[in-house]
Amino acid sequence: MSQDYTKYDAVELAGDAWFIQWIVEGDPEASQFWQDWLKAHPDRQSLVDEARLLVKALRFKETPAEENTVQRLWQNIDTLTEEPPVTSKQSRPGIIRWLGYAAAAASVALVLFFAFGRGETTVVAEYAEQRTLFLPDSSEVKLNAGTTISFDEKKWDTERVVNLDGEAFFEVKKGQTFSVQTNRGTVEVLGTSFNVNTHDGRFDVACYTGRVQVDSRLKDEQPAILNPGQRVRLNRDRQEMQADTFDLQRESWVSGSIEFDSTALSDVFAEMERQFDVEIEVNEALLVGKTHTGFLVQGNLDSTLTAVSWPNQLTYKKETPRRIIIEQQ
Amino acid sequence: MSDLLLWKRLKSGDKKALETIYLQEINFLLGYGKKISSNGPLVEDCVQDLFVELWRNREGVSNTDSIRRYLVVSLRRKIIRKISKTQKVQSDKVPEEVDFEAELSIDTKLIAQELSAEQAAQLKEAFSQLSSRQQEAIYLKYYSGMDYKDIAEVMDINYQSVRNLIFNALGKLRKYLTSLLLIIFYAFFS
Repeated sequence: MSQDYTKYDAVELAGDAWFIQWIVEGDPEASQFWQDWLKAHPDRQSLVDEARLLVKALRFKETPAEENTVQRLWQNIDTLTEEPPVTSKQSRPGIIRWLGYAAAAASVALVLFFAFGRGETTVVAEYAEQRTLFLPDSSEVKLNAGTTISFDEKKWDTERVVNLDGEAFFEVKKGQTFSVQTNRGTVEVLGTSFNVNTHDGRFDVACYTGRVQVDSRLKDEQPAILNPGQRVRLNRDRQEMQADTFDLQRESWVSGSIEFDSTALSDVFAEMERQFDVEIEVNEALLVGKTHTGFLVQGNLDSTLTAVSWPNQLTYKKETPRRIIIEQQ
Repeated sequence: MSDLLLWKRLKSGDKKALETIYLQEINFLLGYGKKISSNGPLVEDCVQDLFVELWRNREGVSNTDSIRRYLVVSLRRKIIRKISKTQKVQSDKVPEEVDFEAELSIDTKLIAQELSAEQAAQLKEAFSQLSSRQQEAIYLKYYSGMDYKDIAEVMDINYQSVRNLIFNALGKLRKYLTSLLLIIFYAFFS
């Protein structure tokens, strides 16, 4: 923060976005900044107290909209925006169709969950879909394509636990331990933001803010503690976690940018299947030892296919718009 | 999902994007609308029209980095237009004026720890004495988390006017607090 806050009075402090971030959001970075700042300027304590009380007092009386109003309005909107179906959908493999149904069911489940607030809730982000949901404590989860998450709302007050299969980015509200359980390990945090990816047999965890504890299911492995900018990966064929760092400023799938960094070609095609909702058929032998570095071109399957295939001496043809065959050039 | 991405989805004709936006924003939009007009059904009609029109015009709408700002700007205009129609007011009345009215709800925890119930009541009273525009600017900033630029666009006034509205309002409220603070001594929270 470049501002010289020593020149601020209580009103200016109370109007400052960074100050509000600390008081209202409890943002860890802001909190650290302001506590340090107070240590350096103890004479500002009373000003800060005043500003803090002012900001805290500015809460508003809100009556949440009634659930049946929300539903009724949506039904009206839905009916008024209905359009004739353009073409019938391509026939899809069974599992994807099932995912489609699951996603539809999940939307219903989500609505029911808000209406009645009990029991196990499952939410699915279909292929070619990303979705955002809020957990009962208003922690936010963004699901990448082809991801399933479930949690028990009834038990939420006693244990914040979600089960994850796929990839998700979490922004967890401060509180008791929040844990993400996956097939290959568990991630535990108190309140922070982090990404977990279990697609294609991997277990990758990256920490964006706060601290994250990662506990793999491996017997000999100690839990790893991650600070912002650190990540661990457990590849499907590895029996130990590998730690490295990443650039926090770098765009990620959450901001709409999917990047491959010397990623195995088999994983690249798997990601493309999820992002574009297509089937990619390729002889495994063609993929051995090949990797790809670059961006996935959002919404443009052909550009992405070309960008991935050419440097690897591969070519592609479309059997149907949703079925792609990869061959040697 | 970022607003930009969600918006892109919407523009490409993804109905789920519309539903996501609806579920994310409906509580805020109804709450805000009902502070501009106490006529609930009128506000609900406007919200419904807003989403229907958004869908029908999706290809033509400009990109936005803040879906909420876009929706609030349109909703505010719709409500004002509808009110002036139903009231059949003369055309020379400034159309952008609204009677925004919000009420502070001081956290019970805050009352227990740092303010007496009486002091909280005084502060609420002080807030209700603020002008309609001051209340709206404060509400948009502290309740909805909008920045000055967004608020300026919603209220259709310039950036500096928003800052003035907010700082004048905070200054007035602070006067109440200063006298309260003299008699309160409390530990700084962790």
